[in-house]
Amino acid sequence: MDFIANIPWADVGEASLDTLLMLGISMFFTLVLGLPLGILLFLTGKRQLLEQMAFYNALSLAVNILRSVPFIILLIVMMPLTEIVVGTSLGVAGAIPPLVVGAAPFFARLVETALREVDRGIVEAVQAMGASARQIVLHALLPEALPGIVAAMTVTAIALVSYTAMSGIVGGGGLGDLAIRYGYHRYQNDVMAVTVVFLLLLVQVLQMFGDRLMLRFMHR
Amino acid sequence: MNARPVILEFQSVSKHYSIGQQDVPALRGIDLKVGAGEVFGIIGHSGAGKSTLIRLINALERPDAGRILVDGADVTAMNATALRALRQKVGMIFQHFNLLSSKTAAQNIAFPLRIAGQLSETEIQRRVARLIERVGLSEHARKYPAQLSGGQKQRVGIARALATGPRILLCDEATSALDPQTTQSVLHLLDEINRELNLTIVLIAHEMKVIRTLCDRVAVLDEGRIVETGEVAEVFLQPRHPVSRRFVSESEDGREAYSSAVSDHIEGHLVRLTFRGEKLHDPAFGRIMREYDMDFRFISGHIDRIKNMPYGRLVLDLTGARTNEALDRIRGEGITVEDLR
Repeated sequence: MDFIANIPWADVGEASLDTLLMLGISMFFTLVLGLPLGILLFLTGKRQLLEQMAFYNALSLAVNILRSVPFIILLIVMMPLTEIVVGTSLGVAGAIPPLVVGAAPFFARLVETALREVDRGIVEAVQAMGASARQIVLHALLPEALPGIVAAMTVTAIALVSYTAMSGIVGGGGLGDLAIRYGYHRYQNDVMAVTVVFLLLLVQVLQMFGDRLMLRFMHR
Repeated sequence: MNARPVILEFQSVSKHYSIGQQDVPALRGIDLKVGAGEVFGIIGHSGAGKSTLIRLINALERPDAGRILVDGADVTAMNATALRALRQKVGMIFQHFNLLSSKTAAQNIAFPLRIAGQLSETEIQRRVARLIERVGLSEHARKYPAQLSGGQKQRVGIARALATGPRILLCDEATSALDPQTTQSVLHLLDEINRELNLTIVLIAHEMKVIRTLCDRVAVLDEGRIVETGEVAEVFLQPRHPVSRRFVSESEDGREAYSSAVSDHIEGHLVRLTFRGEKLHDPAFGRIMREYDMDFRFISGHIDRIKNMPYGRLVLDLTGARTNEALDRIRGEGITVEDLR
């Protein structure tokens, strides 16, 4: 009973909510930015519909740069920009822009790969029907790549969960932050254990939900 | 081509690919004409350029030189809008079917109609139901491609290619991934559709078997050039170019390879007789043999058909005093005689 009494449940509850909030909002914007970026990467790549190597190489470099910056650095470096975008560089709101900037290029790369997995023969067949580039993307490529894109979403969401743990640096809160504050700074290992279990549950649920969704769209 | 209006024409078409520094010619000076309603085959080994050739027709590939006319319009000079219209008039089926795995059989067939966006949903449904019935897959309409066999997938491919009511159907090695029995049933379906709709079919293949089952005329492609063109019966029974001869002998499975043991004992004149169509039922040959008091031994023989024409082939060892006169008479009856000695 001591164990349960020792845990600051109100803080855990608030932290869980913060984590879900950061995850939900940053995931939404990651999809909104990352999906078109991934499609653009795919289409302008070598031997693709809108092959544009100079553009592709520039875009690819930008994506790689963002992906190679450790998230904790991104969080700090982006502070001035974050203030311009959301009005503050602190709290949950302050954590969202770096989370999106960290995850969107990652997600875009996964989308590009998923689109490349689509059989070229299918694209050729759809071209032979007189489809425009737009129709090919919307009605053939995306539906065919959907299971892969859903898998990419799952991986990205889970990566975001671990990114949110670092948002405590800017006062973003969340379960990761709670674990550091109580578990590390105050040596309250029981609190740390609880937050880790909560994070594990969250990751499990995301993975299960993602896998189910993917199987639903998979007809291969 | 017997006075069919020309629906497809290649005028000195050439195409190169550059692979690294190298310039690889794919097609060299292709000229050909295909009549409306005709089934035209292009046979060649892999790398002969047939895949490029068929893709020029619906502008999936562009030539370096020459013109390709479909229904009189030059596809090389078309803008995006015209190209869209062209591609609705030219259906295509593929070796690996290329169906959308995320869509059911019925949705795959509806796909080109949705892309075209000219018909109402009810009209699309009606047309899809009719097409799926035509290819004998009504009970599989709601299945995904992964749940269908190879032959069924190709039937969906055919229905999909026919959805927009094309005038030409391009078949890119359409039966190469199928077993022999399924191949026959798919070829039979294509043959029926060709008659019912007076649909022009252009197909490429690397096997003579497919060509002789379905095609009216054939072009033999070798290293980017057409080395022989003609009625399938003529090219098959009397191939002139070495490449054509090789394709024919591959499909013959050594049927005429009479053993050297037999040919060592040839006593008279070794000849090959070819009886085409009606000649097969004509007793002229026996009459002439009796008339000229000829003797003969069978070396090999078979009866088969090319598209709808039955033909017979006999290799005989002829003996008799008036062999040459007898052979002249046989020729006079419209039976082809070849001297094998």
